[in-house]
Amino acid sequence: MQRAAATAAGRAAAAISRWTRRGGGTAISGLVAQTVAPQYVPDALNSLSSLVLVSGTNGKTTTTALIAAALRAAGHDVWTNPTGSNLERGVAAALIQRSAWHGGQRRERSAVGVFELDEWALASLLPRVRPTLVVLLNLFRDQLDRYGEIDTTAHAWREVIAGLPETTTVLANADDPLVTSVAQMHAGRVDWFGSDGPGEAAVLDPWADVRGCPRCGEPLAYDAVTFAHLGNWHCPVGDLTRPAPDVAITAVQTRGIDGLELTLATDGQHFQVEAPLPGLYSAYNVAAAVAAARALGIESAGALDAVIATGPAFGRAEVIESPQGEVVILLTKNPTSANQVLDLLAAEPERLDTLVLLNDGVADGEDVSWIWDVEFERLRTRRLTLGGRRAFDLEVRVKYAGVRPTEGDVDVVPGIAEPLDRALGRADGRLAVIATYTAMLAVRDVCVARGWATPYWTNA
Amino acid sequence: MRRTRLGDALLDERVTDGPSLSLAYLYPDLMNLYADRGNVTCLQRRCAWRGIELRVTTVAWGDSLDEPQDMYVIGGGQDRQQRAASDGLRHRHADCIGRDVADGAAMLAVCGGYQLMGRSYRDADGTVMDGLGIFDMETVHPGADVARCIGNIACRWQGAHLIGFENHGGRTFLGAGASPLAEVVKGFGNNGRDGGEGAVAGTAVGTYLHGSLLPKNPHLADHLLTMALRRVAPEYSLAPLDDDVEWRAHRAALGIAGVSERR
Ligand SMILES: [Zn+2]
Repeated sequence: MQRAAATAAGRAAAAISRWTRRGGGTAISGLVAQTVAPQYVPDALNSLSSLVLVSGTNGKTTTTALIAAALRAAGHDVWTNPTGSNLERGVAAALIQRSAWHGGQRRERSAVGVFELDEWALASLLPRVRPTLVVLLNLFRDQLDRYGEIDTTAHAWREVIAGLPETTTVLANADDPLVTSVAQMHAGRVDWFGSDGPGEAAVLDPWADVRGCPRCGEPLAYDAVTFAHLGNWHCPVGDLTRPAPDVAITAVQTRGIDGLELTLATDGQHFQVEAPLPGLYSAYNVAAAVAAARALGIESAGALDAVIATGPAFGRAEVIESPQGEVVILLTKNPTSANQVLDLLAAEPERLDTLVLLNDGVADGEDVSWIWDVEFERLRTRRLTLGGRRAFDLEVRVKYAGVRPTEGDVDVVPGIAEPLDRALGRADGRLAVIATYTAMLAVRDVCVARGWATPYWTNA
Repeated sequence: MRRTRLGDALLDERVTDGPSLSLAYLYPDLMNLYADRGNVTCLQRRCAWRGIELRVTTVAWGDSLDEPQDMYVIGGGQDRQQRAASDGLRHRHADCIGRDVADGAAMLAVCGGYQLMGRSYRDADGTVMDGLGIFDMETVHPGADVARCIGNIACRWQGAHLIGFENHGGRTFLGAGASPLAEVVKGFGNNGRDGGEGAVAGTAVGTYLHGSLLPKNPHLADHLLTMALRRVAPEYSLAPLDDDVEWRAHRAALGIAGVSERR
């Protein structure tokens, strides 16, 4: 009864929020439902026929979308939180959206839940639910003012993973030594995804977040580095070893913003994949989704077809058509994702016009120091416009990086709509927009207000 | 709205007809939590634009360091890395650092690195690390349950402002042998109580302002270079640079911290 009341109250709040155009109503309704019934989320999740939880610093939204697509293709009714609203209240909101008006017991029993959770929401929720599968993607330094050190996050994860029932399967990134040290705490089945192909170098970039063995602290050795601290690593002391991946990336060819081609190997079979998802990091997301489908008993070929058909999640290399040309929105959240995006642009056959938007909201991280670990020295751009609330911090960073656009001067315009207009006004062809989280939402809002894009709560 | 031409100054960066400085960047592999290496990038550029040669040696935990240095820079790290850094500093690098700083080498120690340059640091678990005692101060972490000092910070320094971001659990208290670097206008500083931020002892500067401290505070960057040059080339005076971009970011950050420039 309490649950029905929570659903009703949450729906009402969502409707009001949408009606007043304050947003998709995703978090508001969840917050209301959670307040009315604190057990709402764990109870509802535990009544689903199976439950998949996805967490990690980067790639949660995309991987969640890919796993959901694979499950749908296999005929399942999938419940998910597709808008990146990844705190417990975001999960609550998604559950409300799908529940029948009075709580919807019957429908839930046949549905599969696939939900992304931020790193701390996972630690808080895991002791209260019985998931079928927990997917651990990676751990990168991210918003230290909000989340704290990644060693602290890893410690919290180790505790909750050690407390999981043996019936749960954990799927983890073998290429991330910190995530490996977490997943190995699980008493039940652990599956791994990772890379088997040659990396680019065996030396870590100076901004890489993990350098020492999570167990003994000795500097890790790398036979191959994919990016950041991901790769074919081993501890020189040998107390922590990289597991062999069950789903391995054996070759990757990026095609810039347009996507990538990769080869996956699993169970003695090889699959060629062309995915409309850009960047090396997307290869890990695809491998994670295929490995998740495999763990859930879905055959890999079918899962791959679904993955290939799935476009990017909103704000993640999403392409928006404007009258002045294409706008490609590239979300960046931390040094790792920003450096990946810069590599992506450098791989484009022709230099693009670029707009970088840096905000310092709570969801971006109020501390903008991290841009000094973003290698703007690697930025290849035709024209360059800088914006956001911290546009002038970007200007200093770009000055010290010695960035030289091939055309025009660096334009510095604080805000969102104004720099977008400036950049579009002088753009020639595609405009790449590199944006932090709230800047990405804001620039999308501008595109929606002008009728170039649909609001994110309707294209879910 | 404004247009700027960036990068022109970099064209002649290879011309080094000025004096030569050596800088030891301590433990970048352990202590780069807040992109502290941006401070080294800043010093490198500001030297290059003036024709000063800055030779940067990155010193890893296990490296030996015998050559005397004109400058030292150390950043912040996670708890575990800070413990390793403390160990390395005391057992491998205390002698050369102490010798050079006493001889007038400039030091910038930030956040966790700043804490380790005091007499001691007691971390959240109660583990006490001995510091190098460059600054007469002690730092105590009140425990993981006590709120950290996090946020934009602005302080007064030499008739101007310093602007940055702080994020530290430990509270630092200075002894009679050290003076605060600056006076807190907005934020916590050393301990959130006595209004002091950072420490100065001779040519050594310690601070909780982390990450991109020097790029947005070019006056502090040049102050460090001036101190380092005094010993190497006493006759040399640092040429002014066009710092419009830096000061604009400085003023914007002050505004975001809620501090007006006129005070
Ligand atoms: Zn080890």
